Amino acid sequence: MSERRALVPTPAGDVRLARLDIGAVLYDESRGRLHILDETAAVVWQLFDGKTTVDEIVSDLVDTLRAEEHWARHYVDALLGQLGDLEVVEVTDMASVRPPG
Amino acid sequence: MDRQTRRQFLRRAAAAGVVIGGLPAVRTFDLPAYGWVGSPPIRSGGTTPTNDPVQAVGDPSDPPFASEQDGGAGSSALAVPTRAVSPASDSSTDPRVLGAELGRTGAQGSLPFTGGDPRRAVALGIGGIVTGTAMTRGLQSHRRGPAVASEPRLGHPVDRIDGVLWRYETVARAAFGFTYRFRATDPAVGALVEDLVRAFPRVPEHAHSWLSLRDRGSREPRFASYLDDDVLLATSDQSLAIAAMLSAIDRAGVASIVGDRLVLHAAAVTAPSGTVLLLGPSGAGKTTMTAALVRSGFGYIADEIVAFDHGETTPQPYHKAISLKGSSRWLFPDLRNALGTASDAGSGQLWHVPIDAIRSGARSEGAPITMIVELRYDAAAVTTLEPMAGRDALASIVANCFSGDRLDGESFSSASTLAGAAPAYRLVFSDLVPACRLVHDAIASAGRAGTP
Repeated sequence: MSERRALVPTPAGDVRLARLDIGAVLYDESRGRLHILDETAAVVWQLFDGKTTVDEIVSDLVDTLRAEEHWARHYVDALLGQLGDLEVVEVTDMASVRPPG
Repeated sequence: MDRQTRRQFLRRAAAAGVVIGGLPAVRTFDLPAYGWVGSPPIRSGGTTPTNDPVQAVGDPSDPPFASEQDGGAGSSALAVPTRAVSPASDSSTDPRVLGAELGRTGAQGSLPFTGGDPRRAVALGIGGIVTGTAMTRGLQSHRRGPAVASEPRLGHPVDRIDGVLWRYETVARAAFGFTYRFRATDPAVGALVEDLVRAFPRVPEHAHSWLSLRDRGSREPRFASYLDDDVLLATSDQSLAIAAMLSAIDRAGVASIVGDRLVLHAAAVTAPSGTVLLLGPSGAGKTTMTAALVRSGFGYIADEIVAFDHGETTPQPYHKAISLKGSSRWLFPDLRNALGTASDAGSGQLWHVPIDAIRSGARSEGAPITMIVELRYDAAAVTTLEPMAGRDALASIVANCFSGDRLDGESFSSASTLAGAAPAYRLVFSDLVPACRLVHDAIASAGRAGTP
């Protein structure tokens, strides 16, 4: 039986977002790095609010952007992988940190 | 964000054409930490000692102050400007010399721009850019040998300060928050340098710093420039000593406002139809393009340093002299006669030219930026002006920030405001004339589009 997880992405503290005509730019002030996101990535980034789970994000993408679930999940996972490697987003398993009871 | 808000947000994104497809595209780059102003930096041709200035520029046994010889308007003290302005040495009409110059610059891999014989450039219509009279009264005075300052000087024409016989002093001027007075041992060179800084605003009375240019006569290295007690450069080439001083003004000017304003390594020009911010790394052609646009009618707001109050899109004027690189100066042959000083001997190879010599009355106040242009010179490219995404414009702005060790969040927000305020274009060019025309056409078009 697989363990149920509630993965929640949260932007790192020193990261600022600038939304422009197309796409967005993330500025990681602590590392002096700039990350340019395409339009879809910019939209998905804004759902990383420290409260919404990956499952909820995928569900919303499927319902509103008419994406197939496996594509939506693949996209979100890939974005989290890239941004996680760049240390601009952290993913917390809220199921494992919930207080007992 | 609650579920309903999330879905509304996503539905708007869907209506705007956002789809899930493929993999996310994330481009990352590290921002340079800018601590240097100038294009290019002064590197060779002298030394940059940082210890005691008097000891640094000569034999330690030298007396701490100069003899009457020191700084005298000696016969060769004006070697550089005299070489530059002398009709006898003016090679602009000698195609062999021009050809040699072109060959040399091409070999260096720098910016030949139009390429080929400059006479061809004139035939192609660049005459509006490269011709014209630019001699100024102030510069005329340099030909008269020991010059009289063309502006009132504070202090005394002949005075001993710090044990050195300074024969020329200027009024106090400001480069942003940095205020300074300039002095020289050679009055003719002093007047020449004053022409280069004359466009900076005057400030009453007190200045923070002295910029000093000293001719040590027969001792080597003969010339030295100072910022207060620090030697900027001690060298046998006076033009390099002057260039180091001009660069020091830029650096100190930036240092005086970094953190308080958004400060870019860029240029800005303005026309009735709009104001253009020119971006690009050193060597991209910003200064040459600025000179060409000013020559063709644009007003000059700033070169090298463009500063904005946070959250604002109106650049503040910074009317420094134009410093043309050797590889582009043949496009402005008339400026030989308006030459402030040349740095031929060093790697800089700069012509420092007062903006009024490019076009009289070109100095302009700031106006809101209406077009952002990122420049890139490519000798093999067809000259094109293509729209650029705002995110790329922002990246370019941020990459060209003078930010000290690290760009602060407020500056990033200001850069975002700027990037979002004006359409951006990428200008790839191999030829200056069509590049100028494209900028003219685009700003005129943007101006018409913005007219109710």
